[in-house]
Amino acid sequence: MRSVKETSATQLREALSGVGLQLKYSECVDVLSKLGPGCADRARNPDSNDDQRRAEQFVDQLYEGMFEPNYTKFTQLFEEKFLIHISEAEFHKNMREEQEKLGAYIGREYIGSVRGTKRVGDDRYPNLVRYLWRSFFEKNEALLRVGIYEKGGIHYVSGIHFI
Amino acid sequence: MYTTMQVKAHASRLRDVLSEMGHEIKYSHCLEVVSNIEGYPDWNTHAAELNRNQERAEQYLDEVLESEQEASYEKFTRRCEKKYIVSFTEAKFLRDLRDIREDFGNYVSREFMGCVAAERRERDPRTENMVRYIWRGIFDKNDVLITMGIYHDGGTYYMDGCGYQ
Repeated sequence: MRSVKETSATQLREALSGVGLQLKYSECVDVLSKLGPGCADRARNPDSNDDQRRAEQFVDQLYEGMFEPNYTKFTQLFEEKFLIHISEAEFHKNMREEQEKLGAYIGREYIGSVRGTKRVGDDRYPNLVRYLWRSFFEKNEALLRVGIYEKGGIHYVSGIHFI
Repeated sequence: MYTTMQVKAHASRLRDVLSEMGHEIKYSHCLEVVSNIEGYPDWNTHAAELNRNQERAEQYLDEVLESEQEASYEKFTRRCEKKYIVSFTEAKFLRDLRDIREDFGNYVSREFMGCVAAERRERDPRTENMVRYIWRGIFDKNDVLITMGIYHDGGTYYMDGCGYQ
């Protein structure tokens, strides 16, 4: 049985041939690996703004922490007073469950941002913005939402969710 | 891929990657290639299908917003398969509606943001072809992330809930 990658390379080769471009099979594999799953990845787009670039950096760091898994790395971007909600034991349990459900991380594609919800009397996360990505894993795709807020000139993560 | 925007981005990236490897190819040809790989005979057919899907999602969301305006449970659930909404009662719908109004206020406008494949769940055939549509909703108290799952079965398109966050 052929792997998904082999099937895709064959499909790509046939499709390119259909528009008059003849490529070797190995070149098609190379093209696919360079394309990745998230071809609209604006993290590498110089036109993306500072907020989006920061959000991408934060997600890189959060993902590193999640998939190593490394509690210290994961929690570095959270305000310390909120860490009581994420104990180290709970973190490791959640990561095992997520990895089982999603499989290995492959890539992501930025979707956009939505301002945080303001509720009367709740000032925990000032200037909150929720950033969204289409995140690709071996077993599933997921809508990734990361909240980032700014307090005293410092940016923190309020939460990361697969929704 | 679920939107023309995603396909276009993919085609652009394909052209760039091929160019880096010394193969020059027109953007329009890249659109054809991407459409072919996705199982469509050409880009026009592919784009038409994607536009139809997005229009359907917009229409279903219009209906949801109307149903909320009218507090009509019947209208809200008309696109849902009845067997999947047994626990979603009219009382729950009205409770949710009160919460939405309290937290977000009244609907003002929206902007389509994109799509994501729904998480596949064993023993839930709906998730095989379910797509989740995403909008930035502007309400008078707050901005809202709106998500709606749509799947099809036997040629009919059903809604699997509409969430505000």
